[in-house]
Amino acid sequence: MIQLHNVMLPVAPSLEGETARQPLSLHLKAGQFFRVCGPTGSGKTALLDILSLRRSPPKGELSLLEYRITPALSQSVRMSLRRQMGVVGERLFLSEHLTAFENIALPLSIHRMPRRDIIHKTTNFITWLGLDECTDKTPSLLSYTEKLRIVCARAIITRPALIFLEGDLLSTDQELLTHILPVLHDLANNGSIILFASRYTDILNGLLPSPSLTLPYQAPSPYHEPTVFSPPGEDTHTPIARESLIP
Amino acid sequence: MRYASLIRRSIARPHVGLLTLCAALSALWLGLGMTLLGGVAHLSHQWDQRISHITLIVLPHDTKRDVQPLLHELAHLPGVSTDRLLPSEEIDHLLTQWGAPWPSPTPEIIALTGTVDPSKLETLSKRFSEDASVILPPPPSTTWLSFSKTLQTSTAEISAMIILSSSIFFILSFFLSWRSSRLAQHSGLVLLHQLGCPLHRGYRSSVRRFSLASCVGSSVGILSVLPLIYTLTRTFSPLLHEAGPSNFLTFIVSSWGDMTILYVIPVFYTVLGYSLSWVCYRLTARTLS
Repeated sequence: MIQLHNVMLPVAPSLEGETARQPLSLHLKAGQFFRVCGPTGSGKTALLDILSLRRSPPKGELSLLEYRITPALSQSVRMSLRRQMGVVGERLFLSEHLTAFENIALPLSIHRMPRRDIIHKTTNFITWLGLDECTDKTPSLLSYTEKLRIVCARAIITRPALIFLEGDLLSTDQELLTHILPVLHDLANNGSIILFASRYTDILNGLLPSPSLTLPYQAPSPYHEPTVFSPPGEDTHTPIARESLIP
Repeated sequence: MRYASLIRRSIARPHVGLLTLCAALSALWLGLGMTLLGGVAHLSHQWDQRISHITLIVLPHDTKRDVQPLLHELAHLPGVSTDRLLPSEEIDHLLTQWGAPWPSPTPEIIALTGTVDPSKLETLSKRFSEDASVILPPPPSTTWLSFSKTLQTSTAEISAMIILSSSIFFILSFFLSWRSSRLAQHSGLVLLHQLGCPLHRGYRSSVRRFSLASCVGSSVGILSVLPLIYTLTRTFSPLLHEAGPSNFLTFIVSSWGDMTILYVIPVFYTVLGYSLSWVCYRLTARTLS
């Protein structure tokens, strides 16, 4: 479902010497919980931005959900792909003109869900994440943690096929993590691809799978031969539909 | 929560107050420019007609006499295009404007337009009343013709400048409003874009607001032009040798045909505001992509 071939990821010069880019190839299948680790400037955010179509890959090939991402790809397909993504990026991006409730409901509205379903689903999420008191508050009146919860709720409320998370943000709210990690595993079991990027490899030991990729990638040869990261054979499993943990 | 408008409300409302004001001023300016052009052409034509083609027949006041047979005979004279009996209010007004008070009763005056044989006219008038007098138009003046032509040319140039400057003023004010709105709306549009929402669903209402602001502003501008035209017409009516409009509403209704172009201006501004904002938002959406 996600394929990267020789995509050049930018790296901070201090980490990679003179080379400011690293070639990366990835192949992620449905239902995979992929964890990327690496220090600041190693290219984690760039990888998330490229995968979430916020940045064009400078070089190489990228395919998402069977669509090859090229400049010629139509806007409608790009929009359709974005609707199938849930992103929790470095910046907590909320609409200042909508309340917490409305911000969470926004993706459902974009998906043209019936009004009754929007209210029902959003209310459940609000209760589940303990945001009942800030339902009618605008983001300017919310704390950082509350905003983070809203962004997370917004990212998963539509059960997207691709979920990209900046893990360092989530690790600041242990309560949120205890809510959201089982849900992420559940979504992965139901076929979503989870890409979790974090700075440290030792955070949340036991709750998260061990890092699948560490950036910056150390190439085995001076020619920067790309290495393909595929899910190990024993981890490959057919997604099993089971009762959802999402409210 | 208004679910249908969730996408629209996630974007800041565009600031269209300035655009409304500028559209009003621009429409006012544009209307005055067009009125100047049409008004001077009309004035010049009227003067030209008065000087060379209008003959007046002054009849002493007599309540027992019916003027209609004379009017009927005059209408059948070769060369007469129109003839009319001036109403007493118009005669009173003209005499007042000319500073020539007339002791009551006011004489009856028939105005004839066209080139008429003076001798035939004289004979016909004297047959009707011995005291009738015919005032023939003066001979054509070359000075007047050149003056009229110069006046019309310079007026056309001034009007073109006014119309052009008002259009540029509106377009500049539109872009100013749009840019300030874009700054406020940028984060909302980026958010919708990242969530995969087709942006036209977000900016459609903003486009409507821009066109509405243009419509309201230009309508206010045109409504402000009408009293100005009314005042100008009243002021210049002595120059036209006509009585000024006595009632504003009657004036608007009677001059509907002449001022059609003014009434179309709000429609033009609305279409212009809609098109410009639609193109601008489309370009913004393309930039975000």
